[in-house]
Amino acid sequence: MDRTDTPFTCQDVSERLIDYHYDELPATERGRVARHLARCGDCARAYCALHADLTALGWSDDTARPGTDLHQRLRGAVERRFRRSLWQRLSLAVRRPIPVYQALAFAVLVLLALWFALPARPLSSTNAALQPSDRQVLIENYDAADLMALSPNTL
Amino acid sequence: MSDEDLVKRLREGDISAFDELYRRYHRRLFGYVARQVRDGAQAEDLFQEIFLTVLEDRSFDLSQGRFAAWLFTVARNRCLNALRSDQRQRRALARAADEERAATRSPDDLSQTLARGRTLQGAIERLSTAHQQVLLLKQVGELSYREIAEVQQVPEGTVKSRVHAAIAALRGALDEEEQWDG
Ligand SMILES: [Zn+2]
Repeated sequence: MDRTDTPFTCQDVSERLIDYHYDELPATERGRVARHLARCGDCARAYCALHADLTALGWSDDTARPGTDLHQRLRGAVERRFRRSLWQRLSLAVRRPIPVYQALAFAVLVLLALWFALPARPLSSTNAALQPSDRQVLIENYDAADLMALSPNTL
Repeated sequence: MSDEDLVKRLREGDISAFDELYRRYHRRLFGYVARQVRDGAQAEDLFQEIFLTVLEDRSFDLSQGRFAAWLFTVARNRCLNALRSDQRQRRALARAADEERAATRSPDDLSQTLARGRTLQGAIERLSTAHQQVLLLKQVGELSYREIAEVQQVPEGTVKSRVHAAIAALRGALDEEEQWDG
């Protein structure tokens, strides 16, 4: 059985050149082939020849490329088949967690906080309209049980 | 992002996912198709048809991966159908014109469209269709052995030995050609 650190022989490499060319070797074997090619001129030449022969087939050249307008034509057909309807786009936009919605939620919270804070103002202004002596009386006589006895202005 | 994720996004309406799939596959797929059918316009029609068929086919389980194998399986079938119908068309034309010579000289098989030089063509002709296909899928389609095995429905080892045999045969033919030229 092959140990992974045993160097490959020329025969080992020759059997694996095609798979090496197509990047189909396991990583350990790939490294051993590469190391062998780096120090063996015969195998390196054999590898170059294989590469040249496959290129000579002419199958990798640029002549068989689609025309530039083919992409646009195909894209048009794809758009007609796959473009979202207005309803799909809207529902997707609502579901999407984007920062603008976070900002909106924050704004709503601020408004709610203001809403609860505002009703206290008329009450405090009423208290401010009382004379200092009256306020002193109110504080001294304050008792939750006697709330009904207080002047209606303070409530 | 994987090919399968791109198909999923496209099906959700994101057209930019198609652009990425096109960028990844247009050269390989068009090369594979164009080297089998003779006519450039026919190759473009087939290319479009194959791409759309694959993108629209919801029977394929995206969670299993293997978009490339799926794409080239459809491509192989469409090309073979096109070649067969082309062959039938040519035969009918030949009969109509009573051109016996043309009829006997037009094998119209894959090999004739694949080769450049006469010797190379001879070597390719001697390969079975399965060997010719495997070489095209490897060299032009740039598929892995595993993907070709899926396309051809054979074990990976069979693909590997076919690739090796096909390349050995072609290299032998090229050496022969070189000797004649020399
Ligand atoms: Zn060597």
